[in-house]
Amino acid sequence: MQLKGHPFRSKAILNASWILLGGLASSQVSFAAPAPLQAESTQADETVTQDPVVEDESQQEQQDSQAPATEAVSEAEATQLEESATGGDQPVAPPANYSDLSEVTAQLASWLQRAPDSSQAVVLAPSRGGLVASGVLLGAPGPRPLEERTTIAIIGALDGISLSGAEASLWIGEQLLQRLDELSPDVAFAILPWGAPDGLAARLSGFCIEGRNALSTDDDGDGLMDEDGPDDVDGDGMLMQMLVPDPEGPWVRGRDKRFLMPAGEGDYPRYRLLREGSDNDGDGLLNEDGVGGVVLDRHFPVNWRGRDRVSGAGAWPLAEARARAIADRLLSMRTAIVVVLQGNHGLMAQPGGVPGGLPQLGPAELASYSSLRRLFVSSTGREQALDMSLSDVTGGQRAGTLVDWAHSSVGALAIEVSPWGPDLTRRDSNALDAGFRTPQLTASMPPHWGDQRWIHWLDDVHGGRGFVDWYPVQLDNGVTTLVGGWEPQTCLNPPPAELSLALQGLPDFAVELAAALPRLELILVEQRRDGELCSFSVELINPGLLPTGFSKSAEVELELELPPGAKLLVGSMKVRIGQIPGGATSERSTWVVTLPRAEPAILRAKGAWIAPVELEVRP
Amino acid sequence: MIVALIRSVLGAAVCVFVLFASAAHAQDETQREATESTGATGQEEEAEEPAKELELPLAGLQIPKELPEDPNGLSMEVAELVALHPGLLRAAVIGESAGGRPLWVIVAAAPGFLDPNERPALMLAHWAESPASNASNPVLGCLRQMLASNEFDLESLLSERTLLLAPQLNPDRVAGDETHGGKLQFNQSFPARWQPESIRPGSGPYPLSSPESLAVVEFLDLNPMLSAVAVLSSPSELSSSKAKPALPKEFMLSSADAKAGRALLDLWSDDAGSLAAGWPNLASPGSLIDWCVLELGLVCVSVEIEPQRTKTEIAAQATPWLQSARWSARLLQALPRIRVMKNNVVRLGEDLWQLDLSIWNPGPLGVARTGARGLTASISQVDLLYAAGGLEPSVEYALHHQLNGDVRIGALPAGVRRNLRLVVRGAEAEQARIELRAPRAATFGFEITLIESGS
Repeated sequence: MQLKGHPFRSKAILNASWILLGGLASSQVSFAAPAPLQAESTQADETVTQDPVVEDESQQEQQDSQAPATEAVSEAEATQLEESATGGDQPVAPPANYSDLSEVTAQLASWLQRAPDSSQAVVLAPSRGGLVASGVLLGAPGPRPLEERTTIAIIGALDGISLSGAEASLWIGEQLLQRLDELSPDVAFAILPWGAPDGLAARLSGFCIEGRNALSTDDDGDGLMDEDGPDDVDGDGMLMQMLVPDPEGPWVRGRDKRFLMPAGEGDYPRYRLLREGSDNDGDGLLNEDGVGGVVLDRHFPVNWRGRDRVSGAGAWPLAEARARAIADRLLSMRTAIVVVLQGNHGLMAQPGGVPGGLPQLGPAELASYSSLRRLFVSSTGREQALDMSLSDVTGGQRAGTLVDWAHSSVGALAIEVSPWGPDLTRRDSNALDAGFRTPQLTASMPPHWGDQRWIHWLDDVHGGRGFVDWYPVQLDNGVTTLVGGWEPQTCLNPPPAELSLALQGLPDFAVELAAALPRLELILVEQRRDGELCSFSVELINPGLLPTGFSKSAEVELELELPPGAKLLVGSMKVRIGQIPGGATSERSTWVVTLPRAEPAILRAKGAWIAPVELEVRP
Repeated sequence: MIVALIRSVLGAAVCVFVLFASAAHAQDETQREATESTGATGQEEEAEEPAKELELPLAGLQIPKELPEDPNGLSMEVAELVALHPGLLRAAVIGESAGGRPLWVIVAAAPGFLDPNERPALMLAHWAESPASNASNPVLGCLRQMLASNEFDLESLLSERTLLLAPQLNPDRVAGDETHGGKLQFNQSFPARWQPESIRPGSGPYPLSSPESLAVVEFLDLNPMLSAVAVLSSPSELSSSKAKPALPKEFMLSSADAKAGRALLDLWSDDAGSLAAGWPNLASPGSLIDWCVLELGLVCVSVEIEPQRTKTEIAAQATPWLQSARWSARLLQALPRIRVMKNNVVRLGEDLWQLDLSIWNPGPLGVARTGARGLTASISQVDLLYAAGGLEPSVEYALHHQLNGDVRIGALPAGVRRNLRLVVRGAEAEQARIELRAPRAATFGFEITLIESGS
């Protein structure tokens, strides 16, 4: 992507609503300086300096295309990361502003510095734009290495849009670091705040690439790449939305003229909804080939619908090295829960981005997701009465999401949590009442229901500010369109002043998730010895709230290890226990062996989510 | 010893995977027709130039430094064939299997006017579904038959077209390598309608998680001129192609593509009654054919071969692969072409001219998949003022979008004739240069002299 030469680069979008609504001086707003811009710039003082160590890593990884896409950093690299820490900063209040990549990197480095025994850096493949956005493994001090523990992955803003999701990830990590004593030493958190660095850096700098990464694409098949994207056609300094009159268009303006409704039979006039822009390449189409390529959260294999069917889906699933690195990382760990923090629905969503698609959740899985939703509600104070899928919360299809793939292929409980939502400010008292009167609408919810939910926030909380009423603008080709819609940093991400509200309770939710994880305890219920002839019986208990897993490949197994000279008479060296629900005990397993007096038999229980536990048996 | 021999035979030409196209002596049938019908000057008249080096868009392809023992002595067979036909065949390794075995692709292209990269192409492929260490390779057998028989004028057939041969895309499986070829199913790991391991065991954690499938996809994705894929399959695959559940609407083919698939199947004839199938009967979640059809818009067909015919059995037959070879030749002849059937030059003013052309794709394959970029005409040496067109026999012309002398015409399905009307500015007797370009059809260029028709 030729970011440097693009007209948007020099067009700083003034976000007046932040100042008006948030009461913040504009100088307090962080504008990210994406690394590609830095790399192409010859003027060092034009950019915010990125951590030099991380930049070096980026260059090295780009040069060595044969290098593994994901790897834990070496001790030397981790040391260098630690040196880049800002030192001593320990935020105790939620952030009141959005961090750029250099600030995120510095904060992660400070975690490594402040908790060297409880953290470990994880470097993933750089983005298409060359940005290196790393992650960190966090956990309570303990004998088990972090990478071998049951893991909860927290991934921020894989959609490349949700800056609030990125901040939520950072805030959760920051709080966990101060609450390590509340965590089991068998649990680790893998925190990746900037899931989609190119999109986030662009959004932070006011550059509109719709969350895509920096891959140049020929979306309209004319042999040119990125030549017809959005423009500020009315010169107001903002890229808004645009309604183009079209007799076949899918939208009409609603009773509240600001918002759109799906066009029904006989409805007129109809519109197509586009980003503000003109026909840059003169092909008669508007904004059909804008800057940017792949939206990483449309780029995972399950329900992936093809490069031509879903915009930003990529040439094929996981073709982008960063998405593949995230996938490989999740597969390589004992990943039990994946939390993707993004979106603006304000709810917790379970898998199911495409109605009728995969995964089809079974009763045990549905029950577990219900458990997670209840934890979400109790931790955050939000109201969500129903379990809702990805398509439910957005009222449309979500193809190729990480959540759907992580459930189906990693075998993890995977959820999307939106820090920001329309009802967060719907409060009558000091207690947080998110006010989600979540509907009986799930089956018939129209695609635009999100807009309707925002009316209250717009009118009652913000006095109507943050939305530009539609007004006519004539394009170069003579077509008169309507330009208007939501201003930047309104409904997609909260104004900075309301960021803390969006993050409230999320660290508690993370701690509750950790407490709910399955665990295995091997209980010796009986043992006997008669000379060298021994028998013993054990049961396995899962005291956690969640089951030990779902898939067949994730079933719990018991292995028996006998010392030299011992002989198995009854039982099996490997016993398949199956899944153990939360709070349940397995059936008893019994062995009869000959066993020398001085030597123990060792029983080892293991499951896909759970690190092995051992029991020495000395009848 | 084997490795050294192969390397010496293939030599540097294979290492860098460069194709050599000699000077354009072959008379292009299409251009000959155009010259006759339009009076235009064909490209061949200006093509007296020395042989040029051409690189396929396959950057980074290299033969492994140490060739492993591959199943069935495939590397040796490939080397022998290339050595025997150096002007026609080149070979390259497009990747390695998980077990380190080479994935060979042979490019068959005779000297002709166009780069082999720019010609419409057919891929003939095979992959093993079960170990068969002594079985004869059907793709190589088919190629040998085409090379040996006088029935096939390969020099002529391949002067306008390119044949890509992938003899074994699943070498670990055929070698019985259970470590690498046992668990993951090659033909379930492609990124079209892929289903996770929990639903369809053998699919892997994500599509293209095996190096074989990734290499194949990257190779095919880089070859925009590929029009069709023909698979020589094992009977088990084809027999499982019956009784498929209905596909969702979004995965159904356009009627033009479906018609093209049926047309290619009709080209197969086998007295032995071998099964032949096309889309959607070949549809299988995560299969290579699903990906080729749904993502690349290729027409894919498959015929049954006997997988366990040994080399000895094959050697005992006079023409063991004759049916497959004939089918391949017919498929090559069916690749898309552009024809310009007539023109009319009308003087509108002192330096204002109307040029009427009729463009036709005789089929049976369309020049581009439905919805993708189609036919483009580039006009140079004169000033293009307007371009309009319509389908015959309609006389209502719609303005075409034009930009910098390019006119975007769009799809040119098989059997469809489009009229193109150009209004240009130029002096009398000047020559308007017109190039018609389309994915999956050879670029067709010609010149029209600005002299009123009939004068």
